[in-house]
Amino acid sequence: MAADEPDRWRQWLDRHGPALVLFARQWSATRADAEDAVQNGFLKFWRTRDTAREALPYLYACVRTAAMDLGRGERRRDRYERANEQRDSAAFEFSVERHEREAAIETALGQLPGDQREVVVMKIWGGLTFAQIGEALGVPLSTAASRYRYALTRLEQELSEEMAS
Amino acid sequence: MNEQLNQLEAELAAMRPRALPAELVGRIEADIATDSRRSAWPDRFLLSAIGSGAIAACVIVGVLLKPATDAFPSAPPAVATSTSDPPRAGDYSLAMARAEFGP
Repeated sequence: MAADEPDRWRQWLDRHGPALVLFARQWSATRADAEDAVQNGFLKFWRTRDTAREALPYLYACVRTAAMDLGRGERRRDRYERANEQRDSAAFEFSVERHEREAAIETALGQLPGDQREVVVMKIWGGLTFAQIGEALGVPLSTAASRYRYALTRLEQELSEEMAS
Repeated sequence: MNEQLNQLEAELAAMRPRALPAELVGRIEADIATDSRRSAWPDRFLLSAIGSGAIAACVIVGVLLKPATDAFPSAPPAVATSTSDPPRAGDYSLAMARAEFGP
């Protein structure tokens, strides 16, 4: 390991950690589960990052796999049931003046189909290109781009209905 | 994408996901530190194995290069033999008597 390694992992985590938890949240019953998934996925990424063609898509792929693996566990299912009874705190740091709108966006985001939501999270908060998203998910670039478009259209519809009601 | 979607995209980008809790960062830090310690052990093991191998190789080479004459002497060492007859009963008494009374 190089001399600057101790700080490098922290830079990666500072830059991508919050978006990764949001990303993992999709397969996790609670935020705590999502954080566990990020821990497992990030460690796997850090140990094996030299084998990746491109680091950032690989990081997201590692966290995705870890979140899916954790989500499959029976113990997690029990926690999921408990989480349905009492939803945990918000995924975003809401601003005071736009709290209501941002809460509506978060709700709408949670209602998106999984394959669209993950693309939105990677693109908006992860800063990945469509090519990188395609690599992380194992789909063509065009598929990633179209999922993103569908997701935004659907979000827009959901929010319009929400505002109208 | 139309104007509305661009606006929504900008709105989404303005939202900040919650920061990681310090406890999670601490857990990851501890795991990475453990990994670093583990990865140092194979290096030490490898170095000690290489060192031991080198010493063993030197010993083997030294043994092989040792002159063959030392290993297999041409003539067997002389065995000390006595030409006199083995002592008989009474020799001791005779020797004592000679010492006391002279030859």
